[in-house]
Amino acid sequence: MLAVREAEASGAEPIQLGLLVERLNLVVGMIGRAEQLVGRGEAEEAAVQLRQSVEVSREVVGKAAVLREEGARSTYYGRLLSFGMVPVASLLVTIISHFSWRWLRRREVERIMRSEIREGKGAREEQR
Amino acid sequence: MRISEDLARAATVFICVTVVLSTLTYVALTPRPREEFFQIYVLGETRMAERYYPGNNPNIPAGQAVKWHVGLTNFMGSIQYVAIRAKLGNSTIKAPSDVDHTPSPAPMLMDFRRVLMNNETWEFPFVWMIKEVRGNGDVVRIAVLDLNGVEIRNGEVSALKGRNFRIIFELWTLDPESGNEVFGWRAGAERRVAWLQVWFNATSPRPT
Repeated sequence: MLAVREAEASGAEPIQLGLLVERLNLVVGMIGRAEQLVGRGEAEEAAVQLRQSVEVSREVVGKAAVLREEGARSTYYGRLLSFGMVPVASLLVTIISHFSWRWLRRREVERIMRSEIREGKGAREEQR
Repeated sequence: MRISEDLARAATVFICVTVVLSTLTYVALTPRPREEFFQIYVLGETRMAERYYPGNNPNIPAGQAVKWHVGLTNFMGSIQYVAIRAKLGNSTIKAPSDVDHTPSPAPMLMDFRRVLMNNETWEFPFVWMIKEVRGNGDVVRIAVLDLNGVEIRNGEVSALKGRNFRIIFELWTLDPESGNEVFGWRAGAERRVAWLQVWFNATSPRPT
């Protein structure tokens, strides 16, 4: 149970976790059946059930450990990628904003120049 | 002079955008704290909050099967081991305490255990039938009860004229610190419990 929880906390895939939880429920069912058998005095049958439950538990612990490592690795690389993308995205935004600024500035200068030229032409025509 | 002005502006934009995006990434990747709780419910035979008794009559005679559906949903944010303990009580036996977080001392009929994924709902049928009622004057005792096909003998719980018996459902979980089953669960520093009860009267067998 604790091994599966650790795997979950490390960010293991929910589908894989679901399979482990199914196996855990199998173990819970076996323990319940063993208790019933003990209550009926069938100790040998109960022991068989318990042995099987221990085997399944071991299998679950082994798989949970693998899942935990995989989950931890994928979480680590996911975070690394996410934070690694931050400067890349910032650089893109900076480049876009830089060229946008330059384009806007040039357009503004051209607009002012055009109006200056128009005013100059108008003044010369008035002088004539 | 022109280059350095552009460079200064670009550097400012870069630093500001980096700070904003880093914050957003951190917030997006950090799991938000949320309330941790379980939801437990009992439904009638139609799987709705109605018809808890056959013919809507809470006087249950021996030999009459009563069908309920018990459900539990895990909103703890993680995988949980849960056990629902069904207990038979009467009006004088102490109910579970929401204040002291103590379970009811009523005798346990059966417990239902399962491991639940986060946000998973587990629902199971709870079919019970009074098999044998014994009376001693006005005091009626449910001697044998059939629960989901399992015969349960009970020698402790009795009620005056068979009135006000109750079946109590308690939620128990696995305490990760002690490794034991505990009544209720830990939500941060708090301890919480969840339980339900359904009342009924036990009557003599119906004449055939």
